Order: sequence, then C-alpha cells, then structure tokens
Amino acid sequence: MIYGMYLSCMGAMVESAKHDTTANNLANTHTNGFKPDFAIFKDIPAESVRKGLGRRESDLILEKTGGGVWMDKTVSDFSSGPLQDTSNVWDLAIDDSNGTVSFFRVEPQGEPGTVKYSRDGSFLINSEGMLVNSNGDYVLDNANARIPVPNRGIPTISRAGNIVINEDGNSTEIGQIGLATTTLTDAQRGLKKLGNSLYEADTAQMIDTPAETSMVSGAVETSAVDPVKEMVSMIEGQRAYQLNMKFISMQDSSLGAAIQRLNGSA
Amino acid sequence: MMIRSLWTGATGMRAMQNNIDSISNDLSNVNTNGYKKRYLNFQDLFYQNLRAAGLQGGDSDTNIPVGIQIGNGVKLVATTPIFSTGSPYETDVWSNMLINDDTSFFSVTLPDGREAYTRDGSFQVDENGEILTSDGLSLNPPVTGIPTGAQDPEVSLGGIVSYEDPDSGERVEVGQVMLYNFVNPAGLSAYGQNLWLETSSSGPATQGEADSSGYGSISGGWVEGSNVDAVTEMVNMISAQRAYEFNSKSIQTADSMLQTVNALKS
Repeated sequence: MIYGMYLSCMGAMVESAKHDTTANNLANTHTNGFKPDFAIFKDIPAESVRKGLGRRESDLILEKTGGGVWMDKTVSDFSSGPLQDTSNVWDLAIDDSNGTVSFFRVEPQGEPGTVKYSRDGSFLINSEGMLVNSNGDYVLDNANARIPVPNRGIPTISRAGNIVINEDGNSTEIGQIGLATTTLTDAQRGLKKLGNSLYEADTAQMIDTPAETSMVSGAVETSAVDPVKEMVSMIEGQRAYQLNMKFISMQDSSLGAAIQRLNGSA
Repeated sequence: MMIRSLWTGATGMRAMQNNIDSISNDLSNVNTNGYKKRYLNFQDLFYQNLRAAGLQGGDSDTNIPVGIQIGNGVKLVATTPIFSTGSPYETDVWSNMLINDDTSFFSVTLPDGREAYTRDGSFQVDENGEILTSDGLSLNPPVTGIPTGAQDPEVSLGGIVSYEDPDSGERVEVGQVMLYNFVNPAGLSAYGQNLWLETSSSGPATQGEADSSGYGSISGGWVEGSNVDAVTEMVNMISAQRAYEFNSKSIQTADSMLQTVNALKS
C-alpha cells in the first residue's frame, strides 16, 4: 500500500492525543493549583534507520521521507496560576515568583508514611483536629509530620507558614506548614501527576524550600490554564487533523485512479 | 482515542453544571438568616500513562526523563461551607440573637429528638413563654418561663435570659442560651431549614457558655444575615458559564474530528 497513508494516519493520531490533553486542561479551568499539560511530538526516522540497517540505495526517496510523527512527552507548565482572595485563613497560595517550583507536602488518606506534593492550598481542620486538604489528605510540616491544630483562639499564618494561635492577648506558635522544592530543572521537574491535585516525586529530589519562597494566607492559587491558548491550540489541532485526513483521501484517490487506469488498459 | 476527549469535556461540563447549581443556591439564599455560602473544590481526575517516566526507553539505554501522561478531566470533591459571619442586622425584637464569632452554633431539638445546630438566631417567644425558632423548634437546653407581658426582657452577652420584676425592680433569670462548637464545622451536614447536623467528620458538638473561650458572645435584638456576596457570586457565575462553554467546545472539536474520519469513506 501507499507508505504515505500511514504517515498521515500517525499525524492524525498525535493530533488526537494532543486534543485529549487540551480537553483535560479545559476541564480543569476551576481546579485549584492545576498546571496545564502540553503534548510534545517527535519525528520518527525511517524504519531502516531505526533498525540500524543504514540507507538502502534502492529506496533512496523512501528513506528520505522519514517515518512520520509520534507522541514524545507531555510536559506541564509550572507557572503560577492567578490568586483568588477567599479571606479564609486556612486557604494558602504558594508565592514562588523566584523561578523555583514548590509544593505543599501532603500525606494521602489511607497511605500513612507516604509523602505526595500538591499546589492546592485549600485547607481545613478535620474531626481529629488535623490540618487536611479538601480531599481529607493530611497537610504535613517540613519534617513530614501531620499538623494538629487546637480548636480555640484566632489562627494566623505567616508568610513562612508558621501557624500562630492568638488567644486572650497571647500568641502561641503551634507548627509550620511544610513546603518542598524540586531540585530538577528539566521540563517536568521529575514530577508525575497522580490526579486528585497530587504529584508524585522522588523524595531525594525534593528539598526544603528556599527562604525567599513564601505562602499567602487568605487566598488560593487557581488553575493556571489559559483558555485562550487552549482554544487556539484546539483550532490548530483540528485543522492539522483535517489536513492529515485530506492527505489520506488524496492518496486514496490517486491509488483509485491508478487501479482504474491499469484496469482500463487490461 | 477520540472518545477520551469527548468524556473529558463531559466531566468538565458536569463539574461546571454543579458549580452553577451551587452558585444559584447561594444566590437564592442571599437573604436567608445565618446562611453560609459554599466553596466548590475541584480536583483533576486520574492520568493515563502512555509512556512512564523513569523507565528505560526502547530506543536508547537512558531513562525516559519525561513520560506521556494524559488526564481524564475533573471531579468535584467538596462543597465547603464558608463560616464567615454574615452581615448582622438589627431587628429590635429582644429574643433575636446574633453570635459574635464565626463558628459557634445554637442547638435546637428536631421533632424526632435529634439535635440540630443553627446560626439563625431569629427566635420568638410562644404563648407558653418558651423561646422557639421560626419553625417552632425548642432550644437545647430549652429556655422557658418568660411570663406574658414581661417587663424589659433581654439576653445578656453570656446568653442569660432575664426580665425585670415589676414589683421589686430586680432582674429575674429564666434560663441560659448555650452555644456549641465543632472541631471541623465544615464537616457538618446541611439539613435545610437553616439547620446543620453533626457528622463523624464534624466531630461531636462541645457545649459552652457564650462569651467564654472558644465561644462568641450573644447580642440580643440582632440577627445574622446571609454571608453570600452577590457581586462575587455573579463573577463566579460568569466564570463557570464560560468554563462550561470551553468544555462544550472541546466536545464539539472531538466530534468534528470524528466527522472528518467518517468523511474519509464515501
């Protein structure tokens, strides 16, 4: 069959996968701390190059056309999302405008001893008196311990994450909300999305957060998805998809024409 | 593959539908005494790992630094009630009560004997001299024995209900309105009728005297209004409606891509 039809098909398939990530970004325009993903493609060398056969002189043209395109990776854009004021002291947004990427330390419910990372800072106190996120996962301090919060007084949280209870004119510090910063600088920063606003990372690559990174109490970091960018990428992807489909039908009709002509001369 | 983004868009539309539902409920309760607005927490759904990071790649001996992760949309995880004090207003009805803090509650007894909790202090006195809610529910513990035509009745900051004896001119105490608080008030279950029920997430109710540590003082002749801010809700509604539209666009795009595929075969 015609080689190019398969290349066009691959082109359409990667555009479809790209549309899946765009749809996921758009579904999460109201998810606190969400970071948009982008699909990155890579070109595939011709089959003989991949198999290490070297160039076959007989098929020079075919060898130069390459082997199409495929998904390479999905990377997240870790830029900060816009902050939304909530006036709730237990809503926290990470301010890491210094170029580092920092996360809250979270222990998922039912998985004691594990540490995951999250940008969603919408916290509350559960019935055990522990600080948790909206999914009930424990928020941890810098030593990865759960944070008990007494049910009295008026709490305030400093930019360094220190929780201070103000009661009858006295202030008592009861703990500190922990942050962790990734040491890696590659596109994905060694982080894997788990869903539930959680990230998984190699703990060895997560270090204590530099002092200049701080958190803001009374605000949440909203989704960093830019709908304009996503819509443009959707239009572009849809057209690229159509173009690939058009090429499939063009190649199909030239194949049809060839069969017709051969059939007619016979 | 295309089917994934259709469903991803659908999760986004459903989440935004829930968002609009909640905003509508907040807006319809803009004049409900003691009503607490809700904050909706969304999280991203699980991810499909088409190519896992950290594994050895097929084409080379190095580890894959960044994998391919495609998300599956969004889900609603919590509708958190925001317990900020609603705007207080003066009624000049002595038996109306306002709690001067965010998270103390009055307790009332439901007809089936269960205890419910409320911030709505628009209490009235019935013909038997008992203080009741607008729905006729008794306080817990009940406050009774206010004589007809009692002179200068009032509620003290500590919740003590008293009137002036017309003969001696001394104040006669008839009872005390008690307050309750919870470790996690956001875990209370809304019952309707401005009432909340205790759950295992809220923790048990702890009784205390008004104007003591952990409990607010009571102002007689005032009622707490709703804490819904119409302007914020309107902005939330605009943002949710637009997000609904974006998600419908990603479904439409997936649909038209499928249409293109169908058009391939005439």
